[in-house]
Amino acid sequence: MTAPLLEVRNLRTRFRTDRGDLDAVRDVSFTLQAGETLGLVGESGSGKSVTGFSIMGLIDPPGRIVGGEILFRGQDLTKLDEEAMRSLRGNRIAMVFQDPMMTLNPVLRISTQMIETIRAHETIDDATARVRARDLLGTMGIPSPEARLDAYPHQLSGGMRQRVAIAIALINKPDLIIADEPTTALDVSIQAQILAEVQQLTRESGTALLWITHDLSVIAGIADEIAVMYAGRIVEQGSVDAVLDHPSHPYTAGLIGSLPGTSAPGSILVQIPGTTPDMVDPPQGCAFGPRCARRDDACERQPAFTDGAHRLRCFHPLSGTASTAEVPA
Amino acid sequence: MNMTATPPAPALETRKLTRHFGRPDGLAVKLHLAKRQPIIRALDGIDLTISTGEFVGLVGESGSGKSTLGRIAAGLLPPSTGEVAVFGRSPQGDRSVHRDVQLIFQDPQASLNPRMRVTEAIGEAPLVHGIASRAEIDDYVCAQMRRAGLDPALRQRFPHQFSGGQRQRISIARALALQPRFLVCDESVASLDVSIQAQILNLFMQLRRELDLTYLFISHDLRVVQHIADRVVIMYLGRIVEDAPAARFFAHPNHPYTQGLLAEIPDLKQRRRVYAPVKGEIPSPAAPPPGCHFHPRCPAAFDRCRIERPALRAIAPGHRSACHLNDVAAAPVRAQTGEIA
Repeated sequence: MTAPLLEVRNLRTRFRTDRGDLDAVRDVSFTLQAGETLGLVGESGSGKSVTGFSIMGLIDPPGRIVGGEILFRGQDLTKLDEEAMRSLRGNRIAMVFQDPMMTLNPVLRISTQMIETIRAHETIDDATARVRARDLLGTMGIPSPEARLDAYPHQLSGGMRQRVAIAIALINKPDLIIADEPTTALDVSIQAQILAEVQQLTRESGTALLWITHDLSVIAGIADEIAVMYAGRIVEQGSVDAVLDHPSHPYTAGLIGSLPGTSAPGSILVQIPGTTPDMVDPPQGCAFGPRCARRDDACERQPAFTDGAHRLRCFHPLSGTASTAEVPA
Repeated sequence: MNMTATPPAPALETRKLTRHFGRPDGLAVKLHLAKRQPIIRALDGIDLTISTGEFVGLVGESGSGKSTLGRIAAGLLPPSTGEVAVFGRSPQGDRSVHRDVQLIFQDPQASLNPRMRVTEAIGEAPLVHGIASRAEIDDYVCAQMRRAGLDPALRQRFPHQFSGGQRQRISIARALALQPRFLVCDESVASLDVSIQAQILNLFMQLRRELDLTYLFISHDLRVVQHIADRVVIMYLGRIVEDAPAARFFAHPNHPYTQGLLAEIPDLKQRRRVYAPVKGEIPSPAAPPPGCHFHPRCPAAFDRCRIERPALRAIAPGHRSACHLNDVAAAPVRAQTGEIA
């Protein structure tokens, strides 16, 4: 197997708060091959978005990456200076946000923003860049792309804006796209359109996709691999089929059970008791322990991430091999 | 209006209900000094009856008018034309209706006053309405909190000291404190994490059993509606396009829009799927297409759909659909699925 496109090793991202240090990402490791789609799933505060922002080099003070490596084609992004990072960002690695207005400038025409993105990384004349921008808008399913180029973002609907934002992410044919809940705010029929287009484009161009979401059902349709995050750590990872058909971590099983549509209409949904932990002062040992029915004294220690194709961080999994206790660093 | 002929009166009954937003042309427009403001037809002829005890899921995309309908049902907005009756009384004429209907919003952060302690937020309305006296109010608030799954010991706290799921429980406790018979839930679980959403859905189902409530549950999420509702109403651009008992709706969707929506629901069981979505954008409710509002996006549209508005008609017991394809004589092709009863 060739070297992975992206390898994240023991990533730790810390924010300073009034109440003390908050490690939003505690120890995250995963690899992503070219052309592969990894779904990073978690609820609010799990650290999934911060993981994406860390890879993009978009963690602003008082936050910073305090440990680990982010190897992109073998190069450690955490060691790059801002200028080197800027030449990668929007070029080799691009990001799509939940709110397209995070990408779009409200006072510039779509054409200006797209051409600027191309010319920031490539010496090319305006007219050629414009043609490329127009063609890509067409591919993204935007009707009359020539006219849309001259529009301002507020003249487009929410779904159209998200298509433009995705087109800008794709325009320099990046090797990796980090998509942070890009379809969450969209209507169902528009969400399906965008999923269809992203799927097709990544398949054709061999772009790897890190798709961050809270919605397991969306992930089921597009991802090859799933990583489930809880309280800053990946607690379960494996192929889509392995994780969704045989969830082994009690948290993953709880998440799947709490989805309407997985049980008979009108039945009581599985609910995970309690709420997510306070990340400034997380519980000792397994962070899910206080909400877990399978917890015992062993869970006072931090479970290590198991090896293999279906990886876990749990002493008492529903199936598969249990973790051993992590040796404190 | 006389809608109280057959007791008991339905929880909600609307006849030819419309609601427009925007102003008629003012003087400045008539003198060509200002641009004409578009009139948004948020609701365009809604006939809907909800019997007491029903749990109705109202589903639609942006601009469908589902929230406007919810607000009219709760008496927060008057209709432009047409009739509304809640338990046989008009929310505009008879203010006693307002106690019987309560609305629960999407964002508890925005619907709770940040400077009011939880005990005041829940206790204010019952005091005003004389449901509980000053002496009883503390016990009354505690009872409401317990019923909504909150610890009454926290009643002196402010909303920001709670998590999102707990805040939604506060909204629910506040609504229940008026002893309503009819709850209008407007995307009440949409902004919650999945595991918290499950807790709140379970609470709604439990309250229904305990308090014999009627629900108008507005959502864009068909999976949630499938789980919780016993009847589904689908809206598109201000009109009801389909209305059916939930089991029948999910087994035999009739309207092409509904069929498209159901095909697009992300599903845990479908892996590496290929999406074949409904084409096109949702038109603006300020300039809806003529005839059937869905015709520009409909794969089965024919001439009549571009001109004539399809009536919402019964196609099976309890199942209404607004589609010309159901009109056997006039339709050039039957609906593709052949599932028309």
